[in-house]
Amino acid sequence: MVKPITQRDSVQLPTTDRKSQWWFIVLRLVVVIGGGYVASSALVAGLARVLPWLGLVRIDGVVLASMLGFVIYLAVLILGFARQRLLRTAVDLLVIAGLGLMLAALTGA
Amino acid sequence: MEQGFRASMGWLHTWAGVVVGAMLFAIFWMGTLAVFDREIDRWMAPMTRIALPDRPRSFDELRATYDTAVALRSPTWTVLQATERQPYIRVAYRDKTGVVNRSFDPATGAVLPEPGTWAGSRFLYPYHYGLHLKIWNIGEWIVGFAGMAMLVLCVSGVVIHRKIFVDFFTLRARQKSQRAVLDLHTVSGVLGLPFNIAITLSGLIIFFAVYFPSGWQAVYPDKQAFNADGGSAYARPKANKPGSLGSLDAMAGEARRLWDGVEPRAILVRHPGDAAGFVTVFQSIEERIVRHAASITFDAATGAVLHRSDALRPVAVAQRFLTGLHRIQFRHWTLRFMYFALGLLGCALIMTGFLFWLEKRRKRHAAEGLHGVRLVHGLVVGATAGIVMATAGFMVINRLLPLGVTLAGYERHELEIWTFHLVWIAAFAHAWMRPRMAWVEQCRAIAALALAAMVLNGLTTGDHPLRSLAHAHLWPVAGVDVALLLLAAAAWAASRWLAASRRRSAAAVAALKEAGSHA
Repeated sequence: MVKPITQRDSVQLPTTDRKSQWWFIVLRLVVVIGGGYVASSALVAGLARVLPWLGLVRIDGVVLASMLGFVIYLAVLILGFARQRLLRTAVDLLVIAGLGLMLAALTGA
Repeated sequence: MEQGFRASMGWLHTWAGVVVGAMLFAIFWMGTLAVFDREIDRWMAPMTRIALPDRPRSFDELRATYDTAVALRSPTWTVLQATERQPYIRVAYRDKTGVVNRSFDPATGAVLPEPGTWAGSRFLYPYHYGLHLKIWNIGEWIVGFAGMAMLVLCVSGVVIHRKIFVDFFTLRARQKSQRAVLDLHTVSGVLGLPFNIAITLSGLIIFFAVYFPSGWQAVYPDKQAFNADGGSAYARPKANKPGSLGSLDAMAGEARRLWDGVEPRAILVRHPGDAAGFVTVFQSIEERIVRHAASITFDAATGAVLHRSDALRPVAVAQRFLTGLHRIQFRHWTLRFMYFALGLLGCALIMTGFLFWLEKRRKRHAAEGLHGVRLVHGLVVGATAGIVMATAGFMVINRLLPLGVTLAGYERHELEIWTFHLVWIAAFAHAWMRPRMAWVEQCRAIAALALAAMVLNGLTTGDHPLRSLAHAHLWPVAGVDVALLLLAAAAWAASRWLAASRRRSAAAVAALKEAGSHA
């Protein structure tokens, strides 16, 4: 079941690369967990403003958007850790955050 | 890509599990106990072991505590009638230091003595979402993070086990231990998967306004405006003039009439003693899953109806349904026992995941001189056996401390909580200092403490299982006693099994050495 991981686990990296590898993991954690939360929050804010505009009562829009936030964040976390290229993940997160802010701005309070 | 995706999910599952597993076990263990928090309350506070009378008591009889609340300028005064799971009347108001809780016997109206314990509903239950860390809500945020990690673990766990239904029927218990541990992890994971996802997601959703404040901040100017819009609760500001309070029983009776006979369960007075004070009468929340109590609000002085709660909006129904599903305050004993069993299965899932991580690396780390296994081994013992031991210690000290005792300025309930934390810290220290004997000795300690708690309950209160099983109102006490006995038996059996397998492996090593020296 977990064979591919065992192989990956046992790959010995050259000692000089190890530190950069370690920092890269920390960077990935910060970008995916921290950046992913910020991007999901921005999208929640955008949805909370858009949903009432689409016909939902204000409070319903806020509650629905916030509940969807957990699902959005979960998807962001899974995809963020599945992706090999961290830069592409960062770009995607910026797009999600931008989308959220744009939705919020378009339907301004 | 698929291979790469599964490999990355494997990496994620492994490391998220090791890093967050200790927190998750604490949350699952405390959450599992919280299913029976009010039953544990009755075990730890013997003065509340009361038979529930047939009729609710008059609200007006509690007027003396209302006058106290007025004198203390408390913003609220609350009365909760006795219920099946909490068979005493609870009155709550605030003084300068915080909430004051007072309990009354529903049959006689007599004041019950201070319980001197936070027991299940004030310590174990809040622990599973707040970790007893109140500064800056840091506990809630840690639990939220762990909750998201649990969802990630569920998803990645499903991805790495493609043959999920085949795995479900595979339990090679007699195979070598690494295989058996992995199978146990998989079986408990597959069996508990729907529950684990539902309980974790609903737990997060209860706190949606905490974890995703951006939602309400984008739409409302402040939290009050959001709460006012969401709660459909009646509110009006203080008049800052003294006011009187009419008959609460008359208001409760009017509410009963307007509800076609549904019994009022609770009363909340806002602005006690103020001319703008108002009284809200609530129904019970035990009748349905959706956590919403219909209410009617009266003017405090005249008893005129000011407001009736509206039906919930559809999205609010969804949110309250998930909240109710998680908090299981509705009346359903079968489901309650199932929650408890599934919670324990979740604990087993986390523990076997840890054990598999250790088993898989033990030899390699020993060969390469890495310290990861030793560190994680201590963490695992302390986080799993340690918290169980601390809980048993919490219950033992509860039966030993006399009521009203203080030590170094700490009150009785604080001493109990200190005991819990000190035992837990000691468990971690022991696990790191004596790694070889950690499991065996902590299992023995759990067995001894759990048995001691059960025996002490019988000695100090007289409600030993033979007596408590014979009286229906003592069944919760009997239940906790039986659970303690089962825990003691299980921990004792585990310690014997662990000690035997240690002896076997030591004998095998000795035999190998012997064979080597003869060769």
